[in-house]
Amino acid sequence: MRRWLSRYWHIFRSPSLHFSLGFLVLGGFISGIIFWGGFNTAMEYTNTESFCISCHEMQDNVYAELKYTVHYHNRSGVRATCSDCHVPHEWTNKMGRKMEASKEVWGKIFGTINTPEKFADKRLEMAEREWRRLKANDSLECRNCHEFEYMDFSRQTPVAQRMHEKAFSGDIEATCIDCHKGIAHRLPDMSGVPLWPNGEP
Amino acid sequence: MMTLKPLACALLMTLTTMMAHAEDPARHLDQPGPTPMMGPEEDRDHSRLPADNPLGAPTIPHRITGHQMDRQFNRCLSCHGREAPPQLGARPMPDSHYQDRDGESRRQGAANRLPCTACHVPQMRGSGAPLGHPATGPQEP
Repeated sequence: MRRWLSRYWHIFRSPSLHFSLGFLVLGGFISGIIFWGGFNTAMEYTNTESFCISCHEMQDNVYAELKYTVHYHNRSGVRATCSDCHVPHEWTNKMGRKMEASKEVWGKIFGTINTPEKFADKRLEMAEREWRRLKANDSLECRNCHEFEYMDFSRQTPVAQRMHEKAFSGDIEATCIDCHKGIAHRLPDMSGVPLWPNGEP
Repeated sequence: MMTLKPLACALLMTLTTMMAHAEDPARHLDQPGPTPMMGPEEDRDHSRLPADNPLGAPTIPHRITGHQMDRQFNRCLSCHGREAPPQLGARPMPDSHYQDRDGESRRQGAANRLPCTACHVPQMRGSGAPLGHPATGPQEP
């Protein structure tokens, strides 16, 4: 094993005998483009909605629910797809989320939520994981589209105005998901889950 | 003349069908009515009283589109429930709605009161919806 390794280390270290420097440089450059491009294309493909709902767990539960919400169907025709809310746009966070998502492949293979009953039983656990994530990154995915700076508070309800002004000015430590749970999917039994940030509206 | 006979037959059949449709008073029952050009707009007038009946359920002065109301979760109660912060200013659900049919108080409201919209409906403006108080009539937008 040691001799085998040292032989390859020797080959790896010695200069190329048969290939020109130009071939190696250009070949490395081109294959770099191909591999990096391929990697990114694959990454983007797993970000598409058609990929997400190719599993019936997603199509029949969460996607079916999304269809009735304002994030799918609205006056202006702008809509959010799965990855807009569930995958960070920034590269490092995105890779982290993608690695976490490999657990979902495991769940798919072993049928963790493959019936409506199993899904209902696990809904709170899965929802809490998303709430925790959004709480931790200050609702980063919401803020890809929604920004306090551009909100017309005068067109919001009095309660929403008051809450948004307080959150904007920093009077209360709150992020979008603290109040806006269940905005795109249905909620489980919420007893014990705070619906408002620290009882401070 | 022979060639015209089927044509005349078809014409007659179409006419009779049309007439039958025009006369049948129940012909709309199994089909949806015309879609309004715009969805009705909410009416935020908090002072409106229950229509026709002093004991009637108050109407809802805000939009409830997409609000979840099922066995798991009732969005109405996140503002109108007992555990909602009073600063929200939402009218709290009365005690009677927490009592089940045996008179026992339920923390999350009585099960038979769950579908709020069975009695309370959102106020809408325009289209002459008969929602106004008898004294004032339907409100103009």
